Amino acid sequence: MEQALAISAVERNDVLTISVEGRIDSYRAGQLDQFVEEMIHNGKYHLSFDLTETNYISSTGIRIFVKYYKQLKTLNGALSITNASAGVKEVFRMVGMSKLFEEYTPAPVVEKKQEQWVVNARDLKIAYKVYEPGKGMKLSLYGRPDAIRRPDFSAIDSRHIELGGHKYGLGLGAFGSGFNDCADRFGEFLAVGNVVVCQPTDTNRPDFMAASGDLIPVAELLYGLVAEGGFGHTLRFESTDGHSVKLGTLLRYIGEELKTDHFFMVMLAESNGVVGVALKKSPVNCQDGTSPFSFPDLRHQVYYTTEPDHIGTLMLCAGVVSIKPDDELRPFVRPSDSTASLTSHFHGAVFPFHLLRKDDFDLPKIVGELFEMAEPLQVLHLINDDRELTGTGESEFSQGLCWIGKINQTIKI
Amino acid sequence: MLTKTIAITNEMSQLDVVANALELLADEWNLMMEETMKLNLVIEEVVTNIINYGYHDHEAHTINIRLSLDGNLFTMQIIDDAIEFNPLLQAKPDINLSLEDRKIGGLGIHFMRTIMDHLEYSHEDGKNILTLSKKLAGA
Repeated sequence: MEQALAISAVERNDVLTISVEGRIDSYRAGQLDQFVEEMIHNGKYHLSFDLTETNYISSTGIRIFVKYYKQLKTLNGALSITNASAGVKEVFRMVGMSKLFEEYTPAPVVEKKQEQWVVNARDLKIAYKVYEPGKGMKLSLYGRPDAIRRPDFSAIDSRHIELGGHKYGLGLGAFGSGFNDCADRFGEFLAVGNVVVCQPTDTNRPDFMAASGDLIPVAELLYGLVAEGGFGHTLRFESTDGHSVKLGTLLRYIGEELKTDHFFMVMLAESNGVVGVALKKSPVNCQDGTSPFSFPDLRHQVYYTTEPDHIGTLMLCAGVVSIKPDDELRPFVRPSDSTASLTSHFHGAVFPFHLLRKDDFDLPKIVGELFEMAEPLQVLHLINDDRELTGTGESEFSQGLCWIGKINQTIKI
Repeated sequence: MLTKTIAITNEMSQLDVVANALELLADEWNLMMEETMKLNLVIEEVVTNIINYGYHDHEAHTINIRLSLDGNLFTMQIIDDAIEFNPLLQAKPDINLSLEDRKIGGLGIHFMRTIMDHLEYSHEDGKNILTLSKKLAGA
């Protein structure tokens, strides 16, 4: 008996027809699973299967069809079986899935709507929608970020803040009741609407909390910034062939297009390599006045990517961007690159790869689904390591969705 | 009564051994092709389950599959030394649910119940013995 399944695919009118020859049993189903996953990853959302030459299918094989049928539905795609051997048809009938045969709808003849790329540069394309451009966000600044260089944090620095709803934030934080309770845990923190994620410094895996019913997520914030309000713009970007979108480049284009010097942004994007750092030790426990970033203890106190990491993952990021920040904001941001006046501060939560719909900008829904589907792997403070020769550069993305709010009010708390 | 025993080890690639043996047997015993495929389906579900969940060591184990045909009554008995597990106690999946609401697991036991007429499980001398029988139409 042949070891492998013979799988071939032909694309016509936007429908990819996949023919499978052989036995789709528990032993071989993985090959088909992998093939289909790859096709969907490559943007093929309309799949039609020809199983004429499939002489056997087991429940493991059927599960693959159910899995992708569901997945493609959420992506506005479709999966159907156009042809199958009598035996295979019978198996689908036995499990009440004949529907897969009826549902075939021929190629979507509707002309694909061309996206309006407002930026069409050498390395990236950007399309955006204006929601309510008048809408702005209020930015609250908490604590003393510059104290991280010589930590002397105490209870007066820390704030118990309510998040959820239309609040978005980042900084050093933890879940707990008060400064003392959180002293050993303060780490990278990210809040996007109803979900808050912390990277506790006493464990490896991030903790997260999601608003549900009456539960409002709260966190102890050592320092950080919280933006509140609505997003005026949503935007989609993708890299051009053979290129990758650098975070700094993207922020510069957005600032220019939206003609704004200060904005807050949430981004969901497919990673081409993340460059970032995360504290491994709470700065409250570095109280002898030495920076967690100083040698020789750096390695024990800070995690840093030694090369672009987490390639192929999905990143949920939030941050603030400012050109010529004022004195109050300046301690909260870092230059995005050594030449430009653009400064920013971004945190990102790493998730296993997950498909992004290109036309869905319902942020609370998308974020809710994301956390339901998988847990975050890590929370990182994104950096631009532009040291000559030794630098690892900055985070890069292949495509993503952004939500942008202009900042029209800044408050120091 | 015709009988045949197939002994396999706990590796997925052995599913081919079963499929091949069953095809030869179908020739010998004059079983219809579609019937044979369904029987193979049931064996695969049972064996896959045993291989995937039955062993916590990394040793090779033998799984015995005894097949018999008495008149038109086909019986298969699957005997293994995996952890004690009665598949007949598993919840039935609701196949009337729409595809969107359908849970992904549980189809294996559904095949067993739909295809076979009689199902019996016992645990003796540290062995799981699953006996499934069916009256064949064409034999």
